[in-house]
Amino acid sequence: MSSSNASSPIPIPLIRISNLTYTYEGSDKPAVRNINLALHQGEFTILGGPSGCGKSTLARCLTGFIPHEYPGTFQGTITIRDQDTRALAIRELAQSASLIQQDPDSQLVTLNVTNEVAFGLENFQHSPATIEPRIQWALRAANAENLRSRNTHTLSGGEKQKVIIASFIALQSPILILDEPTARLDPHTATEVLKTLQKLHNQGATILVIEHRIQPFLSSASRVLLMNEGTIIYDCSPTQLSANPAPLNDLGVYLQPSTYSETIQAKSKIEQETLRIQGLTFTYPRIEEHNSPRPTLGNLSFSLHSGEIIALMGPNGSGKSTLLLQLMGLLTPDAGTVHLNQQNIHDQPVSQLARQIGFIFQNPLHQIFAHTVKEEVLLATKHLGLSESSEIKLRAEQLMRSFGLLKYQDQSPYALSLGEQRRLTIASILLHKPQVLLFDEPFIGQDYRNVQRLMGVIRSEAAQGTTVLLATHDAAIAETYCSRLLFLFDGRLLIDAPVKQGLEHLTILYQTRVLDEQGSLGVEAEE
Amino acid sequence: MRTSSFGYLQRKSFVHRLNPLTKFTVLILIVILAVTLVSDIIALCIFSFLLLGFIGAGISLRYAFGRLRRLLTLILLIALVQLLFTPYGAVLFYLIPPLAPGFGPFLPITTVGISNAFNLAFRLINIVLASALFVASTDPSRFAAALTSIRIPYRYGYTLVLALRLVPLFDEESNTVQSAQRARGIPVDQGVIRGFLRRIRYTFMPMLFSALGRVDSLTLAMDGRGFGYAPTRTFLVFPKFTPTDWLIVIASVLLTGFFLWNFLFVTALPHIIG
Repeated sequence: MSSSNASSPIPIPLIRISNLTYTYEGSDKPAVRNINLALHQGEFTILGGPSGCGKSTLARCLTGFIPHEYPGTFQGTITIRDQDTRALAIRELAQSASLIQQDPDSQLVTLNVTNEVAFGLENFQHSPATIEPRIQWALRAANAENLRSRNTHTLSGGEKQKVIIASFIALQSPILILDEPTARLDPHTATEVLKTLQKLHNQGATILVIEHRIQPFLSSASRVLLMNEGTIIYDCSPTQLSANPAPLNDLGVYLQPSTYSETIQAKSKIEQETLRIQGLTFTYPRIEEHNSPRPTLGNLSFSLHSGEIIALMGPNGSGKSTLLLQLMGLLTPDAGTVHLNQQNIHDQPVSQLARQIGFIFQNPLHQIFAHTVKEEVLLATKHLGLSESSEIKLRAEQLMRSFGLLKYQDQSPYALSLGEQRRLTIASILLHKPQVLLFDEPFIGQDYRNVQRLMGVIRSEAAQGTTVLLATHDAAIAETYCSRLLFLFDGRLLIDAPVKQGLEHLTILYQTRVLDEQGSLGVEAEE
Repeated sequence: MRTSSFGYLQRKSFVHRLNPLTKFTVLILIVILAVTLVSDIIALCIFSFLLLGFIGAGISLRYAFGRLRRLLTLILLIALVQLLFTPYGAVLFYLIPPLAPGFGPFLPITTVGISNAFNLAFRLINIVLASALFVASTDPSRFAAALTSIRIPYRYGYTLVLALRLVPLFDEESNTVQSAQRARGIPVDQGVIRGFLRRIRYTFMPMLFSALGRVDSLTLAMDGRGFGYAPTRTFLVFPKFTPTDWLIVIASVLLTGFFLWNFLFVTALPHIIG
């Protein structure tokens, strides 16, 4: 590992950063500090580092959103193709560098794919005669030609990501920056996105990918940058990093599944059945009258037991979130039943069921309701009939301490970082010790250290008999922390097995292309 | 989670192909007629015209009425109030008969009340259906392009595009927040008024912060693709104003003029003057 540039520097610098330090307005600590860097024509660079280390801030600086859109103190200079980013408006910089953010849903401007890809070209006053071939090129480059006639709101998460990539690359700006482009995608779709990036790189694009999970990108990348506390601490080639990956563990950057240091699967005392699902079938009402009414969940039957930590996996759109909503009683099945302790969950209102089942949603902002952190943790005392006894107050304090939230207890939960908000939602659910915990993708955007911290708490709850069902795309998390795998595909339960055998079976299914062939069906199901 | 809002439906129908400005003109004229004219016959004519419009747009009435059921229920409630509390006209019967000597009867159902309720309901339904047909059959991007042809800056046109793009997104977010409330044990499903108040109280902040985040990302995504780069922009597809569009606009303006002239100078004004 060295702190010098990669071994074969490419001569033309597209971006030069000199002595960059930036502090957000209202903050007393710089988000990035003293950065000196040059990115060269044709490089494929990965930028890794723990949550909150300044990666996204650096990306905003490179595309001019900082200082143009975010007030704060900006020192140093950034030049793109020898032009100072402070001297140009964002819309002018957009011709040189494109930033694709994490959530594709929040970036779609129009209602259909063709208009979406044309949007930027129209802004730059290209004529329709030049826009048309550019749309075709961009969709082909993004492996999204088949989506051209689709409405954007009927696309799956992976398809939206591809359309957003197509809409930015259509501009043919020489630098493409992607902020966690695969964080919300299943491994299969993530591979598709990676292939798209490789293709663009081969066509001469300069690419900077910000990721926690850098392993899948290493074979394509020519350079790896690692950040910590606002500075770039490593600048090396993928080969150098693979030879010496030790610093990654300290930084909270994923390299490969085996880097999870503790492979402790829940060898829980699996005692009794808590949830029994029988013949569960559900179809969403059609978005448009011409959509085919394919079942989102088709005839699912399985049981969950106390003390189990179960990984719920499956491609985007396979029905994982829908299944969790069903188990919480938030959706009513078309057929079949869900029994908790042999009682049908639909015999009681969800607000009462919440006493026994805790649900952690994907976006913490959706389930934070109180004015202070402490009130949020104690919310159950208000609505779930818990008395605000000294014992409960003590448990609330312990939870806040173990989640690193005690110092914020009188602050607004909306002032916390995303990672802290995630921890707060889990702490507030754990207060009343529900019998079952349902997690919907709790680790999006969380680094290795945060995952370890959260899983530590989840494991200790399971050890006391709590049933945990964890929807995740991360096979490493499943292998490390879970005892059993449920794999959904196209709304059907394809695998229900001990996690190791389940993952091996899954690998065989992908290797023999059984799942690839059916993948298109899974995508159709989401329309 | 799925959205339940009413938005653009992609079809290849005659109504979809019309210039958005044609449809917008007809919408404005229908709203003018619905607001100004108290006429059952005209209201029924417009209603029938709109039903034909939905069929012509390839949108089933079942789907349209299903999606608009909340608004239509509200309109029926307004009409019910009109029916129950209009004291004019011949009394047909009382909803509450005399309960005791000197106590009652109450809530007379009158000929004018029935007429007013019927008329009001139809006029409001016409406004809702006309707006829904416009939204369902008009691609917002085409509308934004068409607006620039009458010299409205594209930034204003895109405000509308964004509004229509964000409606299903916020609708979905609102459903998720309400599910999260129930999952946290907040009894929003218990008690009509108390449940409703709780829902508002616990929805506002999560929706506000979530919406701010969304809007922030969307702004970056638009600026990052050059939105506002120049005072004008091109459009991949620029809707043309065809002879059919001219015909529909002229016919609609003439018909509206005739109805208004008839109402003002034949029906209303002679009554007022004399």
